[in-house]
Amino acid sequence: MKAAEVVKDEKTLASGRLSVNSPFQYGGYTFYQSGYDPRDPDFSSLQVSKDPGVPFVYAGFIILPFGLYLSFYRKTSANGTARKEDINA
Amino acid sequence: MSSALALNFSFAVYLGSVLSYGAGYLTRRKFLKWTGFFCILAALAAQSAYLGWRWSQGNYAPMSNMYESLTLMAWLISLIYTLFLYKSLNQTFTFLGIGFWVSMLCLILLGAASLHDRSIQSLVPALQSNWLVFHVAVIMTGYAALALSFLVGGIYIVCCRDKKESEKAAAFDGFMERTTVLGFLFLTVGIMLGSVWANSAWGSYWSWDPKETWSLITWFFYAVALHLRKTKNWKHEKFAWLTLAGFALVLFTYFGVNYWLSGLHSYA
Repeated sequence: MKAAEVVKDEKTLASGRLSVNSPFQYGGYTFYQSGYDPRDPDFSSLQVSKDPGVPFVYAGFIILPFGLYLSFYRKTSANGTARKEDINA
Repeated sequence: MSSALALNFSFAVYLGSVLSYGAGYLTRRKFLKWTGFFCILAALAAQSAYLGWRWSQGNYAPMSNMYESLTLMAWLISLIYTLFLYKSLNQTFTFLGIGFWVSMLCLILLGAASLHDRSIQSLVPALQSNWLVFHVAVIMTGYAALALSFLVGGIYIVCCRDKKESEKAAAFDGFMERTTVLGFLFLTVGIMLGSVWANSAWGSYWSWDPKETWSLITWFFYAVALHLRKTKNWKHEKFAWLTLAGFALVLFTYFGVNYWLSGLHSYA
């Protein structure tokens, strides 16, 4: 668990605590504890990220399984003829 | 302890299953094969009890290190095999013999697991998340299905290579396809779940660490294999070789990466 403060022009805009698996968010940026050293409690690696592309990636994650389902489990192939395996199954 | 007992019991029952199947092959008696299959069911029940016990004792899903993932793998392989038998009741007897190799594989997995540390330890912070269950369980299910496709691919090459027209060859070919498709779907969803978890824990959904890279290579391989099957008619023996090669990649992603390459996924 690490305490974090967002400081701009010597003013604290936000503060929060973060640990591995529970990041802290402020103003579109996300602050992560990306690593630590079990032998040295004073060491911690932090990562700040802003990735506006993530929703597109997630949209792909939702669409892809549907496409796979359609291509593998629908009863007819693209040209409308039933696939032999599907009849046997 | 009751826990070790349940696992040792399932090990013994898998061994009994292998012996019963073996005797069934030698004497050509059907009931011995059925006995072998019921041994798998008994082992499955014992392992389920063990997994439930371990989950409640450790208070985390038992899939965080090599020991736990190997025992889970054996459980999943038996489970998926049983479900496949149930789903293809008209071909049950054709697929019954596969049980010998399923038991054999489970014995190997449980034996390998016994070489690893089985103590219940607290989870490293990176794994303390509910995503652990989703990501790992889905990936492991995929690997288990692909392990079955590998077994059937091997059986196909040994037994059916020269009898492509036989009913048995068609049944095994169908079994290979269904397990590969199932494994590929679970692999896809599992990798995506891992990606979402990585984004929420590490701040990036893909970091090109060795496990991620190799899982992507494996995923592409199976994608190409299924495309070859669908569009270039690579069925039967050709597809059987593809399942063997693909499973080699699965093994490398599953074990090889842990032992030879270090990265974000090196826990244990």
